Amino acid sequence: MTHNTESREEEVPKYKVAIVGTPNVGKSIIFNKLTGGRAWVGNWPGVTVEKKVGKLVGVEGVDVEVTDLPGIYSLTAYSVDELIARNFIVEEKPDVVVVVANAANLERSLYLILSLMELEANIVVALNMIDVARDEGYEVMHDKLEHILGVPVIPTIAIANVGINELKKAIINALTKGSTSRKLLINYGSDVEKAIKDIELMLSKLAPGITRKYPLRWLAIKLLENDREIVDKLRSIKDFPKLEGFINDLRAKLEKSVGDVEAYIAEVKFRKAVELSRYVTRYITLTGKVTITDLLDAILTHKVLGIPLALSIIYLLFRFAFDISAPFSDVIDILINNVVHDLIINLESIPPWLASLLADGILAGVGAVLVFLPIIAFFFLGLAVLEDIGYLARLAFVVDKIFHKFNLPGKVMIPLMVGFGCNVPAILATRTIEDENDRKVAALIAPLSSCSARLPVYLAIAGAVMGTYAGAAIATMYWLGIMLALVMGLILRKFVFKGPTTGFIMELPPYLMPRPDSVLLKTWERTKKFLVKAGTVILMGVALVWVLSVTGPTGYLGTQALEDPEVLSISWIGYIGKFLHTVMEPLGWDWKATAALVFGFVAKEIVVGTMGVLYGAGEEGLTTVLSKVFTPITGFAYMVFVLIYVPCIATLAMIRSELGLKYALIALVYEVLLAYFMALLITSLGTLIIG
Amino acid sequence: MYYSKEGGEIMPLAYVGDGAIVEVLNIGGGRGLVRRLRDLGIHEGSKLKVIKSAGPGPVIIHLISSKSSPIGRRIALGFGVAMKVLVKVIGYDTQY
Repeated sequence: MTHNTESREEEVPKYKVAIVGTPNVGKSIIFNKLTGGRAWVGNWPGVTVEKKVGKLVGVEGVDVEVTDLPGIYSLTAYSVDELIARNFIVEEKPDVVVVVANAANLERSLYLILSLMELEANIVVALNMIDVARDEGYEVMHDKLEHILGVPVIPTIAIANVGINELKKAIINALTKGSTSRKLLINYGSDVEKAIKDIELMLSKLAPGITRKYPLRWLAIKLLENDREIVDKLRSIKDFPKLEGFINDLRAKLEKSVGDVEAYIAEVKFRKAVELSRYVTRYITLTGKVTITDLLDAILTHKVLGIPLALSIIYLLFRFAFDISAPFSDVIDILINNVVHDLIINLESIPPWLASLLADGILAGVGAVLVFLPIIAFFFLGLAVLEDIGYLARLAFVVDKIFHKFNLPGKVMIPLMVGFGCNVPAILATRTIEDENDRKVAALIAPLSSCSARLPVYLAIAGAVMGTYAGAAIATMYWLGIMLALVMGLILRKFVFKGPTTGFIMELPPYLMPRPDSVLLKTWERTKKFLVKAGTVILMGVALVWVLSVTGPTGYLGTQALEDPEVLSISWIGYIGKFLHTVMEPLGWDWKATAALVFGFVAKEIVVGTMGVLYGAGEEGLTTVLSKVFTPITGFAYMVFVLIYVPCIATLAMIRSELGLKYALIALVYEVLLAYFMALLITSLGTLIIG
Repeated sequence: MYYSKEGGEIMPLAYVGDGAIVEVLNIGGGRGLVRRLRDLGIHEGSKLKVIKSAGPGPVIIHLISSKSSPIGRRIALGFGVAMKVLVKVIGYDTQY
């Protein structure tokens, strides 16, 4: 800092400019832009805080040295950084102090500006980060701020080079014009103001030398605050003890009315900063993307339209899944049940029992499941699109009002929606629910959501006995599932998982165009759960069904058990079916239908296949057989039972791994009981009404 | 369209009308709720704009300023939660 005291030959006037600002405000970027990136880097005397000095570039006729001061929030004597900045300003007296203010956090910056104004610095404000503020939905009215402070305020976006030239001009202008800042901006209240005046008077009498060097009012305030640095500076004057005693008396008096004086002064200043920042800040309409979100939210979350729109969207989702997947399902069906089936049966090299196990057991069972793969995949595809667009969060919002009546947060709707595809990923989907009790309840009721595995059962039975009401009966299953889920949720939340509801809190992401990769990944993640289930649990299950069908207490019955109902009735399956039949008697189903339910425990899809085997009928003949076995009432009761009675083994396994064995057992028991109760209710009421 | 100097009323967030810009004064309720809201950027001193208040039903807010989260977030709060958030109205966005 010696170079500007030398050489008289240069005729250009020399000036000093300091840059201050709160940390992370872009101060260094502004410094670099002003100095063209060339700076001497050193340390401040006595400390290891970096000091950067450079020359203002792009101006003519003046020599301006720019010093970058440390990032600070205020000008107390408590931190090294603040002391460095303060001492530089009071000792070196830069001609201009550039304050880099944060438009996105104006309060803190204004506090610093107000402190600097008390120092009577010649201030130029660079109002930086106006773009961030705009993104946050507001703007600082810089002209208004300029008017209030009486100092130039230049809006900048340092990083994008916006406002830098204007800032340079303002600096040059301020260098020649001197300080324009308003004085006495902050009024600390009559008591404190009087004390300040008294100290000022005393100082001018006792220490005229010092008062010429420092701003008088600032000095008085600092003394009142008992600022160590300033007190030490005054220790050298002759009448210091007198001054100190006088100030201590004043401070003691003030402490009775305002408490700690230093804290009080800081508080008044901060309140002023907050008040000012409110006054010069205005909220603006939010930008493009959010406006689209506003528009869509106005419709999709509408008080009246929200629910009907949600129902329409869900309906479209189902239509999409069912209609698009139909041809794919047909191809898989033909491939498995004709091509591969015939291939295995006609294999000469393997024994007949093995061919039967593979073809009639595993292939038939797993095949029945795989036929539904396209429906599930397309359902999850549609769901992933809705999710990525941002609609699922809105759906949760829309249903929250209804769900709230059942003590459940609207978020529970999401696992229920996933459950329409497959219950296994539905259990996983409960992870997004933060509240532990809510989450457990959601996992326990999610299996009531009618998954696509139940659909073939509905189709078979409704097709056989419901006639023109088949469609309505199937739709009823979906509604019934959701309603039972809500009622069970209420019961579980009230009596089992008590505890307060933390309520509904959910982020609503902005509406976005779905990205294909993200949508496909989500679809695959969920569909994979179903595939793994088909490949493991269901595979074992159907093998077990086959074994229990071809063996009995008397030993191996031969594969003809699968064709001959007489033989089948003395197999293990026959005995299990007949045993359970005694319990199920009041429901009006025969033992074969009952036995089929046992295997639905493995996977609901198997119920149809098992009935096909047990009634000794092919796919085409099953409808005719079923129309003799069931009445519309017992058939409907059977559908309801299938909807409720138990999630498949894979779902139970998922509940176990997510919540523990206890909860898997709870799910198993309550659902069997509920299914029995509901089926009995329907059978009794139905018989009563129809006769 | 612009922030106005009117306002100053103190009330639960659930009662604030559409378009109001509010500052959070206090969050009643348990520590769990306070933490969850804080994670989403709602805490004492954060500023919100009420997008939709369907009282008695959930409220959608837009986060304008916060220490604990990026702003611009849109958050739905159930009526029960919104009743626990005490706010001061600091202006209205008359676009609504």
